[in-house]
Amino acid sequence: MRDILKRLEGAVGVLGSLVMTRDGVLASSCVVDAATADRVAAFASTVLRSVERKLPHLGAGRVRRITMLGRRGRLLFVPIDECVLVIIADKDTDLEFTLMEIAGLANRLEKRGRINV
Amino acid sequence: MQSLPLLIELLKSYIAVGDSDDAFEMSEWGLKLFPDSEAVRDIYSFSSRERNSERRKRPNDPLEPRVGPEPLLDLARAYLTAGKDDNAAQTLEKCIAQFPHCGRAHAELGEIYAQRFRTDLCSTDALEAIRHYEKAIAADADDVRAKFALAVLFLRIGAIARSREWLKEIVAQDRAHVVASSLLQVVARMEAGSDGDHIDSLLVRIEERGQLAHDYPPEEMVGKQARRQHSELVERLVESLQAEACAEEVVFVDHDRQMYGKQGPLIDICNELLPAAATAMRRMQLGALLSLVVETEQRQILLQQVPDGHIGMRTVPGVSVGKASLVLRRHLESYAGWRKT
Repeated sequence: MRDILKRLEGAVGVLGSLVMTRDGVLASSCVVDAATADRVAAFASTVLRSVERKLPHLGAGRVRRITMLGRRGRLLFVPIDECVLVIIADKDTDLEFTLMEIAGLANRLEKRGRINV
Repeated sequence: MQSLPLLIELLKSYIAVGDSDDAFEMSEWGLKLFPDSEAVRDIYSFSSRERNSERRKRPNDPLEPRVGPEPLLDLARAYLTAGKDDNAAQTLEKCIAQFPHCGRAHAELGEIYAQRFRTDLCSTDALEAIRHYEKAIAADADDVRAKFALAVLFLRIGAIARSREWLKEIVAQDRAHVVASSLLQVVARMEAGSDGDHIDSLLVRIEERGQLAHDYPPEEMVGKQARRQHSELVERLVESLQAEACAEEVVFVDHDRQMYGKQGPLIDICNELLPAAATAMRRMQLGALLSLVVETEQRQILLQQVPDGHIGMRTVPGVSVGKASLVLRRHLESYAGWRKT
C-alpha cells in the first residue's frame, strides 16, 4: 500500500491520496491537511457502505471503483482487499494510465494476501 | 514650450496612459498659451471630467499608481469573454491590490464569485461575492448594477429582508429600473424562512439541500408554462434512454423530488447517495457534483447532474463505463437541444 501511495505522490493531476479501512479509519495519508484526510475517509466509508448495501438489489458484483466528478476536482475510491484507496484529483487530467498501474500493484498485493499500511 | 502640435501630442500621451491629473494641469497651462486651440480646450474639458470622476471613486489613496485600473479591467473582461474565469478573477485581484477603491473591479469579482456560487453552491463563494459587492457599493454609491446583483444574490441565498431592502433602494434611486421594481413586487410577497436573514445558517442549508433558496428570475416573473413543458421533455429523455440496449434501468429525479421512470432499486441509490455526495464535494471545495459512477464487476451505475435534477442509469451486464457514458451523453445532448427549443 505504501508503494501505491508513493506511486501516486507527485503523479500529474493527483492532489492527494489516502488509504483507509472499510470502516473509515485512516491508515496512511498523503493529503496536506489532516482534517481534510479524516473528512474524506469518513465520507468514503459512508459512500462505500451505502453502495455495497444496495448492490445485491442492483444485480451488480463487487465494486471496482467509484468516481465522483465535481466542477473543480474528482474523488476516486478504489477498494483493495480490506482497505480503500482514495484519490483526490483535478477534474481534467486523464488518470487511466496511473489507475492501471495502481490496479496492477493492487492485484499483486491481493495475490500475496497481505496489506501493509 | 511654444509648439502647439508638440503640446497636443504630449497631452494625448498623458490621456493614453490614464494620467488625467497631469493632462489637466498641462492643458490648463496650454490654454493660457494657445487660448484659441480647440484641441487643447477639448483635452482640458476631458481631463477635467476624468480627474473629477477618478477622485470621486478613489478619494484618499496617495499610494495608488497614476495609470488607471482600466487596462486590468479590460484584460479581465477579455478573459471572461473567453470563458477563462479563473484568469479573470486573478486579474481582478491584482487590480484590487493596486486600486483598493476601484468599485468596478470589486463588482466584477463579486459577479464571478456569485456565478461560482450559483453553479457549485459553495458557501465560501457566496460570502466572497457579498464582500466584493459591498465594497463595490461603498466605492461607488451610484452603482445600481452592483446593488441589483447583491439583491439577486440575497434572494438566491434566501435572505429575503436584505434582498427587499436593496431592491427598495434601487427603485428609490432609479425609478426607471423596471426589473428591480417588478422583482421587488415578487420579493415583497415572500416570507423569510425560520433562519431569518442569518446568512451562515442559510448557506449551510443550501449546501445540505444542494439547491438555492430561490431561483432568479422567480417563477412568478417568467410564468408557469415552462414547468409543464419541462415534465414532457424529461419523460421523453427517460423513454429514449430506456430504449437503448445497454440500459437496464433509467430514472430521473428533478429538483422538486418528482420522479420519472420506473420505481426500482436505482432510485434508492439516487435518493440516498447523491445528496450526501453533493454536500461532501461542496464542503471539500471540489465544486458542484457533476456525476457519480460506480463501476462493478458486472454492471455500471451512472448518476449524472443535469440542469433540472439528476438522471440515473444502470446498465445491463457486460457494458463498459465508457460505452454507457457515451450513450448517456448523446441523450443528454439531445435533451439540451430540446430544452433550448
